[in-house]
Amino acid sequence: MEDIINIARELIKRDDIEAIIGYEKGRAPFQTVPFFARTPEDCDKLIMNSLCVNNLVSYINQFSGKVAIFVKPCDAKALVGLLQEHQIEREKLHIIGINCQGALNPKKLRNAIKGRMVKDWSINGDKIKVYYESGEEEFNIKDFLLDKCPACDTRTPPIYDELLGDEIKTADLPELLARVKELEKLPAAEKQQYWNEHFERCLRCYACVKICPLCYCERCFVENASPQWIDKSNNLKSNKAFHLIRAYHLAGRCIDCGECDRACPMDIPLRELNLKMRKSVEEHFNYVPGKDIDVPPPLSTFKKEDPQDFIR
Amino acid sequence: MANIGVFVCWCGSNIAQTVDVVAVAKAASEFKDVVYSVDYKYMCSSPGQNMMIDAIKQHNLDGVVIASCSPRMHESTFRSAAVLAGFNPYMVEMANLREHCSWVHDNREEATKKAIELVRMIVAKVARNAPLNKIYVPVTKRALVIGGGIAGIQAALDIANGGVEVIMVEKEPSIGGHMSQLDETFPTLDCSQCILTPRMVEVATHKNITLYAYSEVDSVEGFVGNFKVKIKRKAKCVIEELCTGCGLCTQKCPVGKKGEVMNEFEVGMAPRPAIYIPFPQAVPNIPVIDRENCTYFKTGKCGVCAKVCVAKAIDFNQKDEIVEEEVGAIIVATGYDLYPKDSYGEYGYGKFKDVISGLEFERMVSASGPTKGKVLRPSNGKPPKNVVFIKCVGSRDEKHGISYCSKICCMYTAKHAMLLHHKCPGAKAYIFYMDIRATGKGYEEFVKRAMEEEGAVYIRGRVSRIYKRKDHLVVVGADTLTGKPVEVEADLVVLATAIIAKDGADKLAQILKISYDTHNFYNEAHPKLRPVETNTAGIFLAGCCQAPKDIPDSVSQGSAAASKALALFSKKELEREPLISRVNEEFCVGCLACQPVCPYNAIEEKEIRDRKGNLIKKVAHINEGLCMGCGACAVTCRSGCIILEGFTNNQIFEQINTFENLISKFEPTPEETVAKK
Repeated sequence: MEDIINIARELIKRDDIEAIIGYEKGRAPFQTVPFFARTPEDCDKLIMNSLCVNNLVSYINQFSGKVAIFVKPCDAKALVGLLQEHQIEREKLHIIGINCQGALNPKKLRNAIKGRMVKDWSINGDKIKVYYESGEEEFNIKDFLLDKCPACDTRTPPIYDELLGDEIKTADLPELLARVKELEKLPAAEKQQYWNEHFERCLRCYACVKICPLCYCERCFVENASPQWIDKSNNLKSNKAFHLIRAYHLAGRCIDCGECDRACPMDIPLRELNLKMRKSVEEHFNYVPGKDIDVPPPLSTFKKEDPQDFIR
Repeated sequence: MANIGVFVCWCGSNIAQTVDVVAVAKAASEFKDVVYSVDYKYMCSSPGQNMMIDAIKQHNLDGVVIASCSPRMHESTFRSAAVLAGFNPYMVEMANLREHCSWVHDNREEATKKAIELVRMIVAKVARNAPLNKIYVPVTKRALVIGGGIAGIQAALDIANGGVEVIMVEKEPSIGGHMSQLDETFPTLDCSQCILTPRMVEVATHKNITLYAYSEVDSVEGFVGNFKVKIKRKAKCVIEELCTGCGLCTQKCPVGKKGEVMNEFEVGMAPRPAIYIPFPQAVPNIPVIDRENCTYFKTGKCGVCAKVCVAKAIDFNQKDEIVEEEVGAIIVATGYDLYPKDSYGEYGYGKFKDVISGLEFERMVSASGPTKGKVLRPSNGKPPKNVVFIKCVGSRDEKHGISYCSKICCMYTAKHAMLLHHKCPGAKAYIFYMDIRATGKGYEEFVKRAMEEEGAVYIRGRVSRIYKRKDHLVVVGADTLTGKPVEVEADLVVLATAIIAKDGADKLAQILKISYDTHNFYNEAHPKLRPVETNTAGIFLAGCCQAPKDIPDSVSQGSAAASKALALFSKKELEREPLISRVNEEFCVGCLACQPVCPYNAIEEKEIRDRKGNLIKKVAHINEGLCMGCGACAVTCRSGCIILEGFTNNQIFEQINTFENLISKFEPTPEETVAKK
């Protein structure tokens, strides 16, 4: 914690940096919220721990000048995508990379405390300590990780100007696409039923669109009235069309930050859809989004030697 | 609300036989927005077109659907007719009842149903059409000719004689191409150099032609009428303005004396110095230094050429230079290469000295060639007695070589047999062939003359093996006409190697953004009706870069390409179809996903600024002159900010919707289909 405050205090002194984007502690238990430090005093409020789950890159364009930003590997992958798609100017960024060993799922933690009033919480190493009105309890962080974390092979941001700590290599990870492969094995009718049950519950609140770092269109296809591609009312047919088109729009672009999963109030496993697209793109084009800024995204490049065996 | 007229064409019996055109016209009359509907035997005929023009006026139409053949066939016919009626031509659309319906079905009832639906969809589309206006772009009246072979020379001279400036770019130190290497040409046996050299000189001296020899096209930007070309002029290390072409440097250069550098022009049969002119008649007659083999460049010592040059024209410090030229049209005449001779191990090329290629034979019989026009065996320098010619080496061989016919080998092999007869009296020519293809004017007679008057022995069959016996080469093959094996004891074997695309043809195509086939030959826009145009407006083809061809064909194509270019230059402004993409700048987020998918480089980034000059945002911008309306950008744009005029999302969506509303009545939904399974 000392580290990030010191870095931030040094950076904010610079004339060219308008603000520092990071996190502060939120009011609800296990909550952190995005925080913009503009003065050295602001910097003291900055925190960085495994409950800092929000993807901060969406805030960059709210500033006209140069900003410094703390990025976890997930945020950095989104940055790579946004830089590739000309949404952010690299010169207007100072990137401070933060290594990540997995982020906590606040929902899981709230379930674990079984409705007791939380006075405060603190994170120390791989443990989180919860202080109740009376008494306290300690949990192992690794039991409460977000679904995306255990299989993640990016523990160090793929892009940064300075990095806190040393680069982390990964080994012996569980398989990222295990769930997708499981779903693929289902017979068509069961697959249909599985997704119908989920899509039926969709409220069309568009929280998934709002939170996605790569959904930055000024006008989403769902807003288009002429022609109206899909029905605006909430029904299975148009909900399904909405989610499938969104998955296609993210194909070869989704960096698997899992924010859609986290934001969905109806717990629709949207990440599974996006992972399926990731699998296809990787199989066909040997490309994983967000890894390397210099490799052009395959779905918006034209190459004569692109495989064509899928056209029959 | 729209007033749409529907005109159903019988196309004689082409459509009427399978589709009940009367029923289609009747059904169409009941469609929403349709105020007039009629059927007619030939809509494309003059009375048919007049019917449309009259109806537009009488019924105050604002949309027209012609239900007839493919728009590729007659869209322009009806749109031009609409202009005569003072009607916006882009309010005319075609429903394809012929290629998409009557020609592919035989059940009259079902075909009629389908025809009605095709018309219904197009009516729905037309109701959402908007009037469009042609786009006008200025023309730069200058042409670029890439390649200085006979095709390029012809094109350049024709254009220049038409009063238009020409820039000619040639890769080699001299223009002339393959034709300058030939001795005599079929079917008249006139001397190749004698007919070519005056043309080469004309190029060099023509006031309208700028020649960049020893240069290559580096990049091409822009569009028809407005190309910007960067040309790399390779360093000759000789100052052109000073060089008098005396040739003293080439005589004194110490390199090449021992045969360590071979002359490409002589197909490696004679050495050349490091500073050289490829052949005596070269145009321009200015030597170049081959920096790879020059002792000065290798060791920093020598400089003999500089010492002997009276004109002080040698400049070792010369660097490659990029020049920029603006042109309105480009003619590609980059020529061909020959199939690598060593790919046929059974013929022993490279193993046996006396196995040579047709082009080597050509240099041998040339009076200015390495043997001064004498046919001699490379192994011992003696004249041969028996010479075997093998045709189709690489050509028409799908397994090992290439599938196509190289077109010229039948003729030049017959010519070689004649030349052998003339220059090496007493020598006998044996020709192994698959077929004899002699389809040009005077060609058949020429081959007949080789057989009957000049004593060439034609053996139908392939050669399976060549091996050495003492001083001779034994050619083993089969005579498929008698069904017997044949053995010829030869002193010299000449391989008629296939014509293949020029090395690097694909790279140049990518620079020019023209398409090429699997053999890397450039694609013409239409194999019959547009043989010298490419699909990229303003770029034309001539000669062997498009497909193998002989000198007469290359020259005709050169002239044809020139006439196309001159036609383009005859206009003040170019008229372009307005069916191009446009960006909705209000919603464009400037992700530029559209940019890399554009095959025509028509998309650039545009900055939108307020009145004070502050940047508001960056968006994609489409260059009207470059966009060909393929729509690749429109489908890539996630937020639907790019529309293709004439095929807007609204039009297509309505077209599909009209169809979908119909099928949903009797087709199961996808859910039902899955449930059934």
